[in-house]
Amino acid sequence: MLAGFCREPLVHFLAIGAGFFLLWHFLGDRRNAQSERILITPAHVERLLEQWTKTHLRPPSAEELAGLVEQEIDEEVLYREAVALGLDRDDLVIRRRLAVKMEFLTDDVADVATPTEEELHTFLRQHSGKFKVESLTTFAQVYINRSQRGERASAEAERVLALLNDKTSSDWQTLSDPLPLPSQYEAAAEADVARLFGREFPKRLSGLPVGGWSGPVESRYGLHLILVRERTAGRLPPLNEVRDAVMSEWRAAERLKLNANLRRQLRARYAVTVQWPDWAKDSVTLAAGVGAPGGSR
Amino acid sequence: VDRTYPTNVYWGDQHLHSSYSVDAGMVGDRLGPDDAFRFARGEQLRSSTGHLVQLERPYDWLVVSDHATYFGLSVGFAEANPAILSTPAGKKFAEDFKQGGKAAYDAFMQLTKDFATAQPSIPLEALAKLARPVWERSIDAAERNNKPGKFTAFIGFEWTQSIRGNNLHRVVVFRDGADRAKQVMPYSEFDSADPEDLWKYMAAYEAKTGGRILAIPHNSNLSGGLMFAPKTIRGKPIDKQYAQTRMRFERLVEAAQCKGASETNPTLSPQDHFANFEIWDKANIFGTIATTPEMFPYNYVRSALKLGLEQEAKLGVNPFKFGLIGGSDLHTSLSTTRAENFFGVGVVHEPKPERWKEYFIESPVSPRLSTYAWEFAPGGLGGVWARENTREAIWDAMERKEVYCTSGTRPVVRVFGGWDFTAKDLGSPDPVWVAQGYARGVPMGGDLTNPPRGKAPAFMIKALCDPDGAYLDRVQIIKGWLDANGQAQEKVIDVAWSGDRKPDPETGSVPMVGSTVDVKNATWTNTIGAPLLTGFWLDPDFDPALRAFYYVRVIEIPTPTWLAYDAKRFGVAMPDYVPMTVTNRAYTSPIWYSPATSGDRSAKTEQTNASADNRVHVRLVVPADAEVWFDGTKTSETGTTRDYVSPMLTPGRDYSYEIRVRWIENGQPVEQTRKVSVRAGTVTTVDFTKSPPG
Repeated sequence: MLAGFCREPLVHFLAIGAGFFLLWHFLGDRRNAQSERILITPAHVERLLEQWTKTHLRPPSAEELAGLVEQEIDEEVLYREAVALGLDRDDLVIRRRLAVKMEFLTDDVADVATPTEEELHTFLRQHSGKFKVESLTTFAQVYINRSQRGERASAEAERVLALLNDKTSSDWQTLSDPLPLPSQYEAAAEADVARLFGREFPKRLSGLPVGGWSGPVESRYGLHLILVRERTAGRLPPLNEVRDAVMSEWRAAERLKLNANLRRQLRARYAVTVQWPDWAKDSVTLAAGVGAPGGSR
Repeated sequence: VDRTYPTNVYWGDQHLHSSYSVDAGMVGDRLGPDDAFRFARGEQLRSSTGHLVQLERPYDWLVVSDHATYFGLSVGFAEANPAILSTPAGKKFAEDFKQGGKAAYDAFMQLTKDFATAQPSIPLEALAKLARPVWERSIDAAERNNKPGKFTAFIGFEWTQSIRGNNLHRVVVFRDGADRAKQVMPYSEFDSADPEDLWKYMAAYEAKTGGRILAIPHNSNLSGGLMFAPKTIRGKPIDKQYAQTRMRFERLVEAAQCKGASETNPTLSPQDHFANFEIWDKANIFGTIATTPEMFPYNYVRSALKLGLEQEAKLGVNPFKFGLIGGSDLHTSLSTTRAENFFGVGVVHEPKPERWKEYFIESPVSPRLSTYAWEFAPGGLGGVWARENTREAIWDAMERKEVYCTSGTRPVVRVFGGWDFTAKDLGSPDPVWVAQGYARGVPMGGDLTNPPRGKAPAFMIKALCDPDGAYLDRVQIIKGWLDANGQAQEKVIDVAWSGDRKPDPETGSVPMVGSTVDVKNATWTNTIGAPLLTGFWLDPDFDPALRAFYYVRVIEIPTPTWLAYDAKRFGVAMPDYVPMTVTNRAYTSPIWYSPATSGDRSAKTEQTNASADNRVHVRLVVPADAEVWFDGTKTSETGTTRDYVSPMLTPGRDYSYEIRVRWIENGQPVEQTRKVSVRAGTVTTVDFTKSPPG
């Protein structure tokens, strides 16, 4: 959304020259913004000149330059008057555009910041889920079809389990009821196990001991006796192994945080009341905790 | 063991809209393609209306298919794109949207009406200027989310032809990455409203980039009798050329989605007890022209497969020899196809108590042709049999039709057809029966031909319930054929079912399984049905002279509809005509039988292997020091016998390679070039140490 927008000189000016100023301006005391002073700086004149030159392929004459500055002053005056009259408020395009600009300014700030080693380590620890190397399980399963065996299924599972643990013979596969799924799995990731046996299954599998048949473990299909041959625990890799990924996630998170902070600070200046329709009163909560149903939370 | 056949079902949705679609982004969808992919990968998101939402189980792949018509215009207005606002029409739209209320509504309606006239209200040059950067963003989102081995994010768009409100829509799916896809723009009905021009665009893309691309039609049920008509949209009878081109690019059809299933209609299939499923047959998509029974044969998949046999008899090529896949077509960026987690077709239909009675389309013609939110299905899904989760492997499976359609749940279905299977083969454990299936027969999407004397096709089927869902009621084979008088026929055969129900001795059909649904609490139990059904069926009426197709339908036991969940969650009462239970189902791609046109026995092996192996194998016998070029590209293999394997190719299609070999003989360089014709699934040996035959 920013690509086209960034090419506009006005944005460059705001972002580079006055970004921090503008931030301060929004965050600062509102009354100061009501100043009647209009200041056209040398840099501002240079920029007008540059724009004009780009369009006309020659520099403006002194007269033309004066005209440009006149125009700029008029535009600024009209703009301020329009704002004072509140003309900007019910204009969806202006509203959206200004909001995007504010987001853009904070994004820019986040990109400049560089995290310390310590910050990256902490981020990795706190978001271990994002960077974890998945747990892998090598296992075999023998299936008991509960819907066919009915009430006797559990007893059958016990009987087969005893046989499995009793024997070292290799014909264990013949003890399984037919099931069109493999009987053995090599280093299967949790997502793969969930795809085949349902979303609860990886959790159940992770509770089983390594070596020796155990179970039965339940799935939609019925009961499974399981031999976990090997389990590579999920692990959190050291920072150096995943530095790039952590860095980019840190940046993304930092950007979100800055946006959220800014919005929170801005929001704090307003007394917000949201009048929810009845049906939403109990089911919806706003993340920032302002303007909760009825304004009471 | 390195298995060469597909070992996994990968689940996904080839048809989802994000805020980049004008009819999503302009009506409240705030989530872009990136969000759509992240959601499909299992991330928790906040929906456009502020609900926290997450998939119960992640998908394996997704196509974000935003409308090429007005591609990115929603983004253009949101960001006040100068290319759009500098046109008088664009400025007027922006002002109307700014004004809100009736002006904004009318502006939106104008844009949707443009879908029905294929005439843009905003100049095409301005639209193109806007679409380019938005298309690149859409591609970048797919690239960012594509994680080979874990999750496949396809690049795609929708060609949305709705002239006069008849739905001829196609989702276009790229096999390729950004480098190729960025060389073209999405093709829209503003470019051309003729599907044959879309195929030209696709052919041009393949020629220009060396990439691959396919199109998947949907909502034939709302096509006003046009989707599978034996006439082109210019009114000419279809011919061999048309049939070949259509089958080159449209290998699949979406048979279930949120705006109705397109398998068949009770009027077309009165003997089929399960035909009355998610039927939308009142009118075209905008509710402007009523659907009449004469249109039905051209609106539904089963009848189209039958028409395809008729056309094949006439043209020599079957124009409707497509496989079946499901899709959601939701416009919320959230692919939520399960009843218990349905987030609506558009953002206005996201969860809230009274959503069931809202209009979807208020017909300008008659209230009878209006459609309401309660008629929505949550949308279908696609199961893809592949060896690995990559763009290439999943796209190739689509291309060879080894995919199936479900009405939104995830049961696992496998079928093989062959000439010498026995019930005993079915009893052998996995993976033995699968290996046998591929070695001696063909999977879904395949072809059978040249039957050994006295043999009929035999089918081995195994179906497993959704590992997080409902048990199965029954497995059926749907057979369609062209009888001796050239009349197309169909038949539904119950092949396997749960419990000890006895088929009716007259009709052979198995009694209904019953229902455990507690509508008031929106619950059910798996105390009926079976987790696993296996079936073996030998066609008793097979006549080797008659063309036929066979596909498998798997029916789940009844479960609550999304409406039943809504009624329970929000405590609202709904009238009797709102359905409270549904029997979800899967339809596989068909297996076709065609009588051989020549007495060539070798055609059988060729065809049979083709479905299991879509590569060309070339073995060269050359002097040890020879250098070898394929189509001008030098190869690195050495030795006197060299084996080459092609990338995945289309079975049944002819390809050719120019092979150049150079070696030194008696101190003199010798060079030979031979052109070799090859077919997927075959091994061709070329001996350069002997002079060429003939």
